[in-house]
Amino acid sequence: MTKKHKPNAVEILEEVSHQAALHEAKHGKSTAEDRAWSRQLGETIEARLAELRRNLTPDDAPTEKAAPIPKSLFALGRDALLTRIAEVTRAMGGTVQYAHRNLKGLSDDDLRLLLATIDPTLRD
Amino acid sequence: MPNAMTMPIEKEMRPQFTPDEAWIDAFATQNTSELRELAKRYAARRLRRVGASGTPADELDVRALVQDAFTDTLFGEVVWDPVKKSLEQHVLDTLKYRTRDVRKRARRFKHERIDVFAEDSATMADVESSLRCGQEMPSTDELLFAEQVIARLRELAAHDEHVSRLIDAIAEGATEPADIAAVGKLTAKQYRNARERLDRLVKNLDNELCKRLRS
Repeated sequence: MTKKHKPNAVEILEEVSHQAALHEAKHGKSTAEDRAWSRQLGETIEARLAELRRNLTPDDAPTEKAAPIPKSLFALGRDALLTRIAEVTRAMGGTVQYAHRNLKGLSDDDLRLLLATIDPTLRD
Repeated sequence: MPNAMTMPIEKEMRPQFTPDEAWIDAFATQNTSELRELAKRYAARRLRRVGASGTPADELDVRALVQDAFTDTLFGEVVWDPVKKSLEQHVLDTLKYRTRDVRKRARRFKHERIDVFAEDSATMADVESSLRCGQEMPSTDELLFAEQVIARLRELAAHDEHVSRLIDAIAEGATEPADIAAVGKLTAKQYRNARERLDRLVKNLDNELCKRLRS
């Protein structure tokens, strides 16, 4: 949107500096140090996002005890669990959703619980 | 200054910020490593010459600025509406205003005349650090200096019609890329290419001013 007033020389220079920086931002290269720093910042941000998600849960929300993990799932290793979760999710389309975007942070038993929760064939 | 990476994310006395799930999802989806690296390159470029103007802008300063742009949004201190703009646009806007303030503060501690072309007394540092906050009226010296720099930029871009049109569009008050392209009668590709050449031109001008100082 064009400004209503005509900018003065200082404002023009400010915008020229912004445009030049935009080019460098979009086409510049990152160093290995930049990427490492970015990863660390990403972890900090993920932690805050998780906290924000937790804050959405009411304090007095009843906590439902998780059902025991079906014995058949103990035979599955991590890779097999991840594959099965992906299959179930794909097969059920938009009807299944879970909060974890990154399953890497979940233990094997967490994955088994998740699979037991979303896979209708494992329910009683 | 504390290390940006070890600085605790939680600051005391922050008010409770409880965005809804859609907001959190939008942030989580758009918060990529590429975006964080892009934001850092932007901030570094904007602060590149502040050091020469009296306030050191080192790697940690740049990292802290970028980290703050993200975390202040996550604590609700900077308002982001994912419906109105992307996280990238929001972070770059935040950094644009914050780097402008850093340069403004740096300029405040430099009490010398900024008439580079008349006296060879400044570098591009002065160009960038002389930029003032929108609410404040720039001083006569700052306006004069900015006018001289723009005149020199136009001189350097005289052979490049698209860069000249880009500067003209900015001088008309256009700020958004689409707006600059429309006012400058540039296609999107011509705008991107002109912006790239403008970036080189600004760097060349900086080098030119530094050489004058050394000679």
